[in-house]
Amino acid sequence: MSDELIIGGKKISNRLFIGTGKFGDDALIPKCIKEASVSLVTVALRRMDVNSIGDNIMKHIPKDCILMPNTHGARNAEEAVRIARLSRAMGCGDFIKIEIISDSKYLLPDNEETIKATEILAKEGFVVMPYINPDLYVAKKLVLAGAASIMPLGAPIGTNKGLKTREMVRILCNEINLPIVVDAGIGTPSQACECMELGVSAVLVNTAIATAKDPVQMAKAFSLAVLAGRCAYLSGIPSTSNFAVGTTPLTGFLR
Amino acid sequence: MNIFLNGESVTISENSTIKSLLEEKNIQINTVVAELDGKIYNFEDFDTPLTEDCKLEILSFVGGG
Repeated sequence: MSDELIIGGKKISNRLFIGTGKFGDDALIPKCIKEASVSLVTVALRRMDVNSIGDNIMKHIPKDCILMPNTHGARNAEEAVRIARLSRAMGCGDFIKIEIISDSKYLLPDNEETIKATEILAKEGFVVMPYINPDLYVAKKLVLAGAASIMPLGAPIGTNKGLKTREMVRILCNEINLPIVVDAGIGTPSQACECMELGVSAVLVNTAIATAKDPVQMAKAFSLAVLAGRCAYLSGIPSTSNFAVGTTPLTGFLR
Repeated sequence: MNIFLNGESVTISENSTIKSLLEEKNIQINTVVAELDGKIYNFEDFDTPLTEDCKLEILSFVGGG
């Protein structure tokens, strides 16, 4: 059965996307990518310490991966647009994750500024993947603004609390005709599976993999869970009942 | 001459270009992007000369989610 995920004209073979931050050793990144067969990864753009050249993250990312730079550090649309344009000048494609945050306690995205940045960048040919606090009206505006996907948070970044926004994400899945990617807060493979069972198109995970005792094994676990959840969703999950419904025939009893 | 490199005032050789400055610092030019006085340059345009008091940003990718 064909079940392709295509975003921005690119076929994405694994519905688990991974972030490359927080790894204790960046050499683990290619191992995670290989073990979990990941095809889309995120990176961030930063001022380089020109006096102390560190390891280059790009040497740990296989060339065939789709690279999705984020606009982390942007506090408004203008800053996000600047970071997006600089990232594209690195020559790694047109994908951009819009991440606009001015709240340092909960790291919640600014939806209004995100819409503004999406409008500008979509017109410039970017494949815009906006990270948002799930809201139907915001998502509809992002569709009109030219977003390629909508990326609602499951819980605040790095909290590992799971899909706390379940009902809102379910509404987005039902109402928005774009891939929905749950980004942030997913802490365990079972939570990723829950997202996929709900009907989201993909899940983006960073902290839960990077900070696991064995990130490579955890990446594999997430990949399997995402696949399991996707298969379950496509299979048609049966409805629940408040009363027992027997599984064995209620005829031919031995009396 | 004096320029502002990643927000800090530094003194560099006269007639420097983005490329010569990066090479001086042993930075592989195709791993970075530059913003000079608000304009973006990728490594193919690094022959651009630097001028007194210009603002140069040198950026690269790092791990992120």
